Amino acid sequence: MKLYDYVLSGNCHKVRLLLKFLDLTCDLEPVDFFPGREHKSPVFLQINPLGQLPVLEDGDLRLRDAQAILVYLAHKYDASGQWYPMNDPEALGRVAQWLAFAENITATSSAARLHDVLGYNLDVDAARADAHTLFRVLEDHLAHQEFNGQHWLAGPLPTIADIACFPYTALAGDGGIDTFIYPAIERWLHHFSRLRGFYNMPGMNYFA
Amino acid sequence: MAHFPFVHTGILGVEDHAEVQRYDVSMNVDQDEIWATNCKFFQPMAAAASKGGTITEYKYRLPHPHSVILYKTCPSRPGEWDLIGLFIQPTEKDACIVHSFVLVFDKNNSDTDLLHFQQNIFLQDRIILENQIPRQLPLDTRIEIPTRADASSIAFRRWLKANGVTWSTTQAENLE
Repeated sequence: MKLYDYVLSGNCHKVRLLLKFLDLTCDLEPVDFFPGREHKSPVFLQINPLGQLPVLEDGDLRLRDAQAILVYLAHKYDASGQWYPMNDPEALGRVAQWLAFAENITATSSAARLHDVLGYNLDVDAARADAHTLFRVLEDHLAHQEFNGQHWLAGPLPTIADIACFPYTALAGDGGIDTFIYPAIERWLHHFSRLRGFYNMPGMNYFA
Repeated sequence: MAHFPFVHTGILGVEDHAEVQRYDVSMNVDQDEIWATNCKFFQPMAAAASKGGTITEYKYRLPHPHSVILYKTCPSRPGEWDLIGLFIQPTEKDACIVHSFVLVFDKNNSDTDLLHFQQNIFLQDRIILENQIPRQLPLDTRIEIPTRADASSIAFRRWLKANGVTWSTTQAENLE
């Protein structure tokens, strides 16, 4: 397996984390995302016409999009079915719902981080405000889950929905978005960081 | 150096080797520069080219209040130095753009490998730096309680004071 990777990418970290959780080995192919913009180069556009990371290659399969890669890896390599509950339609629907939510977190929280960390030219105030709108929804949901004795997004156990939503929530501070005002989110982040195999990427400081 | 085992765990330091050994700080009067020399620290992965843990020697050079150049032991060529430089461009009193260079001897890693290695380190530092309080550098000796390991930080503060630099610094009266 080969992962086209950027060390500061939260979307790549989603894949790196699931690989670790499932004890899978994978070659990392570093891409000069910054400052080289290699992901927009003609050579890389042949690999992913959208010019985005991550991209996973496994045998003859080439797959783009972090969420799609999570679905593939979990379904193929997690025999327990915990990370992608294929046989439970309701749970599967909830997982898909939060995978879509993760895309919205990327579009807002990650955008603010790209502005603050790498100097991207975008409306950072709008990105931060939109991120807070999402985090209020996430906070309410996680608080509701806690009332039911559950600590994860889609049910009693962690799924790829939690992995998909984790990095750009944990890295929100890099983009000037304070998540300390969301206690249930903070508890969920800390729960997540205690999963066996979890490791930080730069910008995260979780200690076991 | 004291932050290496805790901020760059497993790369530039490990928690079992947290001691900062005595090092030398000197003011180069002719060129008006500060040098911290004879800095030695155990590092599990000092550079992208490292093959395992080593005692790395550093020299820190401050040629300008907003520039620093690190000279560090080159893992692949004994006797040579790898260089890492940071040029800080202030945009506001508590905001800046950091420009950097990396000059290393390394036959095995690609430029992209080296970029990833350094950007990983820089972003580990950023979260710590941006959460320091006060946001502007304290110059009054009553504000901080330094230890021997902070000798170069103290020299930097004295140097700024001696040169009358007040931009982006915190004076004691501002804290009250």
